[in-house]
Amino acid sequence: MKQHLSDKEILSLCKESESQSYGFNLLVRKYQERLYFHIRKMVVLHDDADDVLQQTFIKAWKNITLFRGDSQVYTWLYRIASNASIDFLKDKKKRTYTSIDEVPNYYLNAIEDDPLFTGDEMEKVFHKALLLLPDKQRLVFNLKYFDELKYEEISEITGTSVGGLKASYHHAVEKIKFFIENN
Amino acid sequence: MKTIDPFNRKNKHPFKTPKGYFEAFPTKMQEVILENEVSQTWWQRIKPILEGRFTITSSIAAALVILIVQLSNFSDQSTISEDEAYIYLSELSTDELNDALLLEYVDDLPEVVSEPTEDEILDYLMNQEYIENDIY
Repeated sequence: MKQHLSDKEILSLCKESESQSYGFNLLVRKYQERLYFHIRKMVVLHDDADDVLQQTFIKAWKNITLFRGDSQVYTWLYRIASNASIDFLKDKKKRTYTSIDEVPNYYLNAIEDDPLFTGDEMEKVFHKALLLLPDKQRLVFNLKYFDELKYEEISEITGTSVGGLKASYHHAVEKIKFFIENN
Repeated sequence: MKTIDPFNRKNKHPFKTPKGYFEAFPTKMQEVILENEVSQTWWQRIKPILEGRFTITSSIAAALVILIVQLSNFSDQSTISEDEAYIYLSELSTDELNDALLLEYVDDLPEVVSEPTEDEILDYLMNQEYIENDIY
């Protein structure tokens, strides 16, 4: 029964102090998978995705009473998850690598060795091509290609204009095609 | 409407999770939130509330600052001592004093300025012409 509650109903549960925990638990159950895979495609490794997913829900919990419902709940959550992923990647680059050139190789090797990556050779090449994109362009590509969101929704999540997003997605597709053709 | 897939991939999600991850995650999340709540300082608790009301708070603060400045200026002006007033008046010339006194009662003055007659205007212009010619 609880899976059938609408976002609006879940939100009203989250805003009442006596039902807040229950409502938030429903929100986590409803969106954990979508958000996890969105984050996982950004940060690649499962442990990192788990950390960022927790951070995402902690931020959502802290701000849920201030959420006014101007946007859809899932675009609000996607925005938090996207920002948390980008911040995590920036922080990891500062902490882990001595040179920015090492970053793509690190993730390329991670995909090769990851038992939780079940794609075939062609998919490995495809995901390697994605990892060579700048983080924000990869974010836009993922939201459009994998999550199949509308440009208007992606605009709400990223704060970028629809025109800018279309151009960014088009450039990303060209870069990926070029990489695949040459690998 | 489905997005046209430029790469025609069969398996869009090749990433997998450890077994039972999503079944366990909501409970883990509740524990994490509880730990987070306990370790939160009072400032972290009120920060989101204050951030949400930043505009109102800053507007009220700005209004208070303006009000305080205005009140302090007003009180400065109203606290002229008798000595200061005496010095000020003693330094005024007779004309200045007359003007000052006149301004004090300006509302009570009868309307003494009437329309000039034609002769008065002609006299004025003649004199004016005379003065101008005298100069040049």
